[in-house]
Amino acid sequence: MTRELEHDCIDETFEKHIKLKVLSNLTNRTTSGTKKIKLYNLENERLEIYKMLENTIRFNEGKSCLLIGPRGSGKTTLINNVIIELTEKYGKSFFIIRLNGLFQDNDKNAVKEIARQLDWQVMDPNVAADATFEKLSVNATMTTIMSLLDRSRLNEDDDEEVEEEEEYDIPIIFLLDEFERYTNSSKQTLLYNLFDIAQVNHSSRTSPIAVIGLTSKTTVREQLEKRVKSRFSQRVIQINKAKNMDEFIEYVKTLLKVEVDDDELNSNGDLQSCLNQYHECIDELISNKGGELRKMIVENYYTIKDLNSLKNSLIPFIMDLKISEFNDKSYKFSRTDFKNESFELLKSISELELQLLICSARQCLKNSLETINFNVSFEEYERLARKQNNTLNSQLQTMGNIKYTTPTSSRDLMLTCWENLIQVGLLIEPTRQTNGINLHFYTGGENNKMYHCDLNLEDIMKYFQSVSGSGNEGSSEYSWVEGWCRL
Amino acid sequence: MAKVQKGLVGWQYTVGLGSGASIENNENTPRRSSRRGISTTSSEADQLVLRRELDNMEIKQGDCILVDTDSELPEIALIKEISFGTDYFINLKVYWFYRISEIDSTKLVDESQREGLNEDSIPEGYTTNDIFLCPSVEKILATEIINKCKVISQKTLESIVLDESNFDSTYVCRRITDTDGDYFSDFIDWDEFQQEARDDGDEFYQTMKRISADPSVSRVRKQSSVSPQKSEKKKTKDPVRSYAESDQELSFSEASETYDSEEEEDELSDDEEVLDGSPKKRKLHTLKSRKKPSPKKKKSSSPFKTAQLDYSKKHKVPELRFPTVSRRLQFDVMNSELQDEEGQEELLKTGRTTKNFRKARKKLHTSSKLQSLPCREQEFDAIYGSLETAIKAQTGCCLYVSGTPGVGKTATIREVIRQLSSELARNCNGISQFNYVEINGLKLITPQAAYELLWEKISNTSVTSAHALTLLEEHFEKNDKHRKPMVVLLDELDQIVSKNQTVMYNFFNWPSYSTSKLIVIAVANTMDLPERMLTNKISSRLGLTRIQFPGYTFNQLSEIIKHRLEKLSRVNEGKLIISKDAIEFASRKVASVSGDARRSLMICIRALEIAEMEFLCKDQETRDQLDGKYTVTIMHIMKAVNETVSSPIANYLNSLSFVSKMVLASVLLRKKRTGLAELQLGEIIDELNNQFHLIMLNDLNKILNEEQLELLKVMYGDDSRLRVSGLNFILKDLEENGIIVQQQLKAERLRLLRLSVSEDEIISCFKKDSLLKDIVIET
Repeated sequence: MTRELEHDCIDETFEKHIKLKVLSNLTNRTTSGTKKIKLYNLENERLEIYKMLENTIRFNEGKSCLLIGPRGSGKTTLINNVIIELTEKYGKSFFIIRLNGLFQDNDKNAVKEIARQLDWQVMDPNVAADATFEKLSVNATMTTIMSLLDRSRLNEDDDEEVEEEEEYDIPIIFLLDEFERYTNSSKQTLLYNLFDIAQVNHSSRTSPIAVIGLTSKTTVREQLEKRVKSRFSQRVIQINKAKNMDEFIEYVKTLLKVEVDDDELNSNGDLQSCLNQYHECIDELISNKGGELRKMIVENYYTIKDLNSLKNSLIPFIMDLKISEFNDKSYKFSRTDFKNESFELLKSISELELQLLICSARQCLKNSLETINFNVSFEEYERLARKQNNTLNSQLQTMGNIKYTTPTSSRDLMLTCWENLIQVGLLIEPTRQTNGINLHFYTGGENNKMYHCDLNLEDIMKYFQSVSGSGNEGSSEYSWVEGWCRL
Repeated sequence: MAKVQKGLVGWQYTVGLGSGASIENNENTPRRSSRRGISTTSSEADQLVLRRELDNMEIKQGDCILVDTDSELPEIALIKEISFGTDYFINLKVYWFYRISEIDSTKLVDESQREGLNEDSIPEGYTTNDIFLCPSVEKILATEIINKCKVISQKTLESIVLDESNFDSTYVCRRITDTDGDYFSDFIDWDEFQQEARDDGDEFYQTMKRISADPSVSRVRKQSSVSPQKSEKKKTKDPVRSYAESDQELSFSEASETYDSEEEEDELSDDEEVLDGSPKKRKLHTLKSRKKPSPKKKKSSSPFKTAQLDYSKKHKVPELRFPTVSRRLQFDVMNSELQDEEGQEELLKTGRTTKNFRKARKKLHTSSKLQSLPCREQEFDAIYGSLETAIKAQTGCCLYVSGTPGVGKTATIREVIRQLSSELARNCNGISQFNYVEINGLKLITPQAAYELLWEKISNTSVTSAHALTLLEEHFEKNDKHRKPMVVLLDELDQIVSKNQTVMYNFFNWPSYSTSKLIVIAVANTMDLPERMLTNKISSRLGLTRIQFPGYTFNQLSEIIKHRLEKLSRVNEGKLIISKDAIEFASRKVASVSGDARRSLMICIRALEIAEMEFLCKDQETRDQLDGKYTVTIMHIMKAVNETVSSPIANYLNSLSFVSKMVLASVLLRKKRTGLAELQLGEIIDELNNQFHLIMLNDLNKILNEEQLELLKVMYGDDSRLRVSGLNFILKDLEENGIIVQQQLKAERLRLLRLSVSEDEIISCFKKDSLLKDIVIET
């Protein structure tokens, strides 16, 4: 009896251990770059980059290349893995400068950041505070960095400098994340300089540098300015999403499987068996056609094919997973929600607001307008409401002599509804300029101001059809919508 | 030895004292102590002697040996040094000899005699056993040694007969070459040489370094003491032109030394006296660089030059403006190692091929100084002329240079400055006659920073740009007789254009002051920049001195590439073979891709990298079989060219998810129907919905049914069937990957979309996709 209990205990700890590992795999913050992360199917690319950087570090060859791949395809992770490897092998014999187009959004900031990172890495307590790379003015900083990196300039006193050069001859690796942002500035000063240094690099006068640009934009090479393009090595390494279903499934398997260090295995013999069991189950679940997990993966593959959103769906699944009773039968995967927010809003607005919105949409459709103002919508509303009233009255008249008058809501009330619609974002202020006048500055009064209607009539009608069709509670509430939508 | 050392099986070593008696290092001596003792002293007097147990053959420093390197013929080497090492117990460092068959023997003789010779034939006066010492140091293993051999001098050769008995073990060394097998020294007395190698390794190394170096390299430095001739490195890739030029120079500068071809023949055969004359002096200059000299260099420094005179006359070279001076592009001074020894350790492990690849890449690199400036003589002359006139006249002037990227504008100007500087300095006792500063518009953060740079150059103090401007203004207005002319190179001029163009205005205005002595060379890409971008007051100040650099023509480019690649395949001792076809193909193909020399060379480098990767991916066995030999073929060059021209777009499009492809297909369909380039997202949504509802996607349906899924449910994710699941995500993704451009508008339906890649590219991609074929065919 006690033995069995003990056994369960062990299993549970293993289970926890494995789960933690898988979860850390799924939630890994790839940019931290302190730990190698397993990547599927990128061995060639890794080797190529590794070789390239190794050449820079060992033989002072200047290199530049672009790494292009969609988001979440592992660009940064790949580079980080390579850098970890290189650090293991060559220690601190090279510098890494990381720039990100999102943070260092212009060339000035980038130059400052380079100086700051150089300062940080060179940091020498003996050096006086003013001997840093970063200077008060950007111009001075630029000059210092350029004098360090670029000695291709012709100097009259070449010979004197020979001595100092030695100490600075450290390879520097530049990683430019969100590379395409740097192509936005018209001068592309930063790129010009980096590529220029990288390509005139063999003459031991300059520090060897390697420039790696990471970007998701496939057309980025065309965006380079002609002088910059001439200096770029034209080397592009591309990472792609999975080409077919099997490959995609392999990616998922890489995500879900864990490797355990030998040490841990040795200390715990049972862990291996537990792990094997886990892997078998994962394999089985993934290859089980019709299973929930498999369905989810297939859906993802055909629609968005995005591993990151897949990871998000997998996290709760793994959390709830029990290795002992391994199945996904009852599990309901939460699909990453890509629903259109406008549709979701429809259910939450009041009836009057919805009526007004429908009227706006009707007017847009009838007169094929792009924008609409309150007056037109209100007119349509009044007309529709009266018409509905009349139909109702005539029906009532046949039943008996009852007269029913629904008060058409007042203009002021409807105006409030109108403002509400604007606030929730179903009516959108256009930002485009029409005839050179920015509509933002329109001063003709709220009633006449033009708005875009985000949804068209068909959208609204179909949406409510599907709501009433689904048979959920409250679906009958919206039975009137179809009538209003009919032209 | 109690312990057999790695790489030393079957060998014993003894420590000799000087060249005197050697003491057997017997086994009683504790190894440790003996080792320590030796390592401290071995560099001075003690010489290690290695003895092969098998046949008691002894080798020591200065001996010549045959080394087995797995090639057909054993390599011949001169032992530079035997010492105790760290990685291997005994370090054997050797200099290699090139066999005559390994070098381009046409280089041995001059132009007139070249006819009828090809690289493999042996010129008159040489035998097949001629070898050439090359100052590259490499480590070898003792086990690789086959036997000792005899290297004899010219004199000894006359006294003996080469026959079958000594054919394999006796070689003649008459000249020394550089590491690339490109330059050959004058004739040397090998006997003296070898003695020196035996006595003092370091001294010998220095001597050899000097001799094997292209003498013209360092001539400038020692000019005052040696020859009045100005040295020059004429980099060339275009042999014909450059020879023509060199000859021209020679005809001016050395017209007095006229030899007849016959005389020269005599010298060649046995006369060493002449060689000890003036040419020898040239030899003695220190070489700071190992960089490859051009063939033309060799020519001018070789003792027999005159035969070319006739040749030169046939060529109509535009007359040089300064006939008294033969301008030579100076060598770039570099302190590169004699041989990249840092690579040696790895070398023994990964084989020599990798190193060859690396060497090759280095040769091709744009900045590598073997690169010459062919087809730029005219521009060179023009710039040189204007600058020299201005400097000599102590006036200011403006020069406008234009040309597309990668045609050698900056490089040419730098060469001009380099030469002009040393040329003028030489005329005035070594005092430089002008100052020079380079300002690159793209290396400045703001245009105004140019003032700072200039002022810093003038005064060595750094101030803010506004302050610098006033100071500069003052400086140039002041009449200062002692001021040296200042040459400013304004590179990437178009980037110095500020809104009101003050920076440029000032830079072009100052030269017009009579007191400024400022010379501005402006460089930009477009010829008509002054007309297009500058106001009239600036373009009028810019003056009319404009120099246009035309792009390299197809022929020029292919000549450049061809020349470099050919040189490369020779240099690599047959280890890295670049097939003839490949060279031909590369030169044509690459040259047709772009007229940018920089880019063309990068493609060649890339081809080598690809070949190297391929080599490294082979397993060890195949690598051994290849024996360090690897051929770069047309395939590699094709691949490199394709890489630069092919865009990653097609790959990305192929890996898109089905729905993303459908979105793009809808865009195409809609676009075709409306004929508009920009489409509203609403239209695309409608189109997409129509497609999903109307078209029977049978194949996909089948696949999904197998997975127990319904098509529409998968695509829409809910029941409303209004928006494809994840539509916004997909659009954003496409936008980030540069396939479409979206208008930044909150209203979903009204947002405008535009494709930013060509329609054909998408269509051709989708045609290959079995699921989308039908839809795309409609378009």
